[in-house]
Amino acid sequence: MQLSHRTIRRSSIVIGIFTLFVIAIQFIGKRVENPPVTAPLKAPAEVAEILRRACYDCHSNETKLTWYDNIAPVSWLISSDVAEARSRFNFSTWDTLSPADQQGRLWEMVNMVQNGKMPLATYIAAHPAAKLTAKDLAVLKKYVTDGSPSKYHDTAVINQADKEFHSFQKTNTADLVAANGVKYIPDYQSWQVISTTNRFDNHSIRVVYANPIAVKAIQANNIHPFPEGSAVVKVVWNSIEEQNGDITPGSLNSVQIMIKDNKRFADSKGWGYAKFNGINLKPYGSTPMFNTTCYNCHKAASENDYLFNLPLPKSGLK
Amino acid sequence: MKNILFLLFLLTAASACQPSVREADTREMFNAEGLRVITSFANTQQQTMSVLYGNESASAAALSGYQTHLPGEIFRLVVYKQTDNRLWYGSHINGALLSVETITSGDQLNYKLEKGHVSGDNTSASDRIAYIFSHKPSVFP
Repeated sequence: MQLSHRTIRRSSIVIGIFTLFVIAIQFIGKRVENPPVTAPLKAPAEVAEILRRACYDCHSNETKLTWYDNIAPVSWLISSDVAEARSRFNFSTWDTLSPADQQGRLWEMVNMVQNGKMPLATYIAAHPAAKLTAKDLAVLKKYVTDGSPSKYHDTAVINQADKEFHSFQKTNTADLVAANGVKYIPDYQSWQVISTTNRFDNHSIRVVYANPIAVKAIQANNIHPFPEGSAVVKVVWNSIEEQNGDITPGSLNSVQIMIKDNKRFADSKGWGYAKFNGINLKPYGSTPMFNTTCYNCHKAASENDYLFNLPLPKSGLK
Repeated sequence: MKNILFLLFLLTAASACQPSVREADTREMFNAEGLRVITSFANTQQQTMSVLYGNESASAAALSGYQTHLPGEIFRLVVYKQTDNRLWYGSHINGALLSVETITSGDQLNYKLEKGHVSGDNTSASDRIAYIFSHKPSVFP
């Protein structure tokens, strides 16, 4: 087929305009910049290699871009992803976090990898080397486990628990409310226990309660998603661990709440989170933004509508 | 007759459309029948996780260090097998139910193994009562 003179002229104009457009957009929008590395993570070589390979392009100030990553509009998408990733945690400013926060982030990271949430599938598609193997995951698991050893018969926790025991149930809970408006629920102890857990990452032991709406939903397997009005309360104690394997509850760590209110918490799949710390139940988070932090971590349990501690299905019992 | 058959057909169709929970997907939760948690504990070597419940007078007895008992106390210990939480490396969660034991107080303390079996060397009623009463109540706010 022979193209007419007119068609060729029209096509040239369209291509010309498109080229000019692409050139023009190169001068707008944000580009990834690499600020100085001020307080980097210090990890064993084997661990550092994995993190550099799979995480550093987004979660550090050492982002390495390919030539096409620099071309708008791809550069805009990458810039926004990297900004988001660095705001969650940044290996280049790692030592500015408290040791407890560092441990928390590392365990969260391992679980995001284990549950296939990280690295992002889109990133792996463009960077196949970032895909982590079972061996890589085992190395990361060992690293975090070694970093959170058991402290047997921890007298600090035991003494604090004794002190709290003597001021048992004296906390005034009437006006307790988190910054996002989620209120403390004083009568949760009359609810049904749905599960009990203990953790060797942050050395705690827990009892999880659910209100009648949530219990009914669990029984009917109507949990994808949980119905409006569902509420879950998790009571967390710092554990007292003994060499013979015994774990008992020590001082009160926190009371944590999730309520399903689809209108108020539309940005976090309907869940409003709250955490009341210590025996005085001090609300965690000074602004409503803390809800996003909770939600981000709970994404690891998205398959259970963001609940980590649903009772196991029969198929999961051994 | 035709109408009845049609009605039967409708009923069958309607019940088939009811969302039923697949047996393997059901999630069992121990029904404590109004008893409240006194404490919870675990043993990672024995791979067990336990919750001790009680009624109001049992909780009061537990708070007093199990020193004095009044008639009407009900203590119930539920023991589960420890399982890894698939969704969070770093967490154990209760798995299959291993046993349910109850202590009630009347003229004396009565022990009953309601369900399952108790492992270990010391499984007599008095041993189990002593074991259950060795657990201090948890600090609830």
